[in-house]
Amino acid sequence: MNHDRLRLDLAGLAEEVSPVDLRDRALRTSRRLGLQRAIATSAAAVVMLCAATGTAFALVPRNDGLAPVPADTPSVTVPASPSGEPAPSPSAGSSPTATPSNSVAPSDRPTLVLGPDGLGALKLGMSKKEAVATGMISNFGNLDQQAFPACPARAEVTGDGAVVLWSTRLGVATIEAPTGVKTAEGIGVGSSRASVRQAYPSWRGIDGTPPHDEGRGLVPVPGNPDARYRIVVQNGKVQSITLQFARQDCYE
Amino acid sequence: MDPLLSEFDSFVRTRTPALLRSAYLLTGDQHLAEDLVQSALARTHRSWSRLHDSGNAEAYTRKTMYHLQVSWWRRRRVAESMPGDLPEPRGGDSAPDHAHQATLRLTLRAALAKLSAKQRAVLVLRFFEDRTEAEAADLLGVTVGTVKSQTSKALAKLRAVAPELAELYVLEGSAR
Repeated sequence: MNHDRLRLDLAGLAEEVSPVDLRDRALRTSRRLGLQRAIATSAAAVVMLCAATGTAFALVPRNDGLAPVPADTPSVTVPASPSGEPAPSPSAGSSPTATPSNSVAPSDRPTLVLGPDGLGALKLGMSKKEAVATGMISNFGNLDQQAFPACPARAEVTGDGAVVLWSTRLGVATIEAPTGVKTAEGIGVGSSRASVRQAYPSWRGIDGTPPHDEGRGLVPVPGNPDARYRIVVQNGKVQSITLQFARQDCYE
Repeated sequence: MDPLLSEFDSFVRTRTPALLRSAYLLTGDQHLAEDLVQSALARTHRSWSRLHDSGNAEAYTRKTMYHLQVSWWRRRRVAESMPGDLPEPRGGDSAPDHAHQATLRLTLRAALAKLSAKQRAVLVLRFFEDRTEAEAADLLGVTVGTVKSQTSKALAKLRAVAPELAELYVLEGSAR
């Protein structure tokens, strides 16, 4: 292949992008990243204080810095870590590999639903060990510290490649929908922008900006005030949908 | 005004256009490119007090951008999501007129969409940003061996999904 020609064509293609001023958006995102870190630190301090003084649990202001949803629940911010419960064991129904493959439908996991608190047996807040015990994930990898300072590891939903991220603070912090899996409201990869708007009227840009028609957005998760769906729309269709803690500290 | 902020502003305003061009090749989409650059700039801003006089701010931003794009995206995502159809190749006539150039660009764009995020990233680093294999490896946080293998896989895939493109590249190459 003629690489000079490839260079030329790449350069030509790159010129298609429209220049925009990202200064304000970058600063907003930076502030939110800083806020998340500050909250993590102060929550830890509160816990230590409680432990030290034996005082009752103090209410941490619920401020996740995300605009889309009013902070309407006083429920507190400590992630639901199912520490008291035994890790769910893989069951025939929840393990992708054990699903009977008697259909040639696009989805080989017709029964899985994303949300409100996880993907089948795999739940937000699980430790890595608990998540592994579900038998649903594989392909573990480490993430670059610079880009993901608070989230050291990733894995994939077995047989699909949908991504699961761990946060040091929160445990399983994000779970992406595998191909063919939809939310309870019927939204999955490939859903149209119109159906997203219908299912989640409050869908907005990632930093609380008014409705994006394209790109990344967040919506509340019906039935779980601590979670959000992150929905990426490209060319009018859902490119990915991820269930994540409202206070996830992995990206954005 | 805070001198650090004004330095950051000037960094953002001067470097954003170039960052967007790379991000556009990485994502194939204006909005996703904006989001990617915004995320990378935000992380740069968090570290600005130690970056501002290092002369390395742009390297930091780029590295962050490549990591954000490559390291956790699912492998098949790009291919799944893009409008998959390649434009019809124009038979015979290979005169590089304007319309033909536009068709070629569409073809390249669609072909890039078939690559994995990592393959796409190595092509952008090697053939758009003109990085050495070692530089590309450093920016992606992988070994030089991975850069080599991903580059050859990416080129092979381009040839496979857009033979008319490869033919043109090869023909023009051999005609030199």
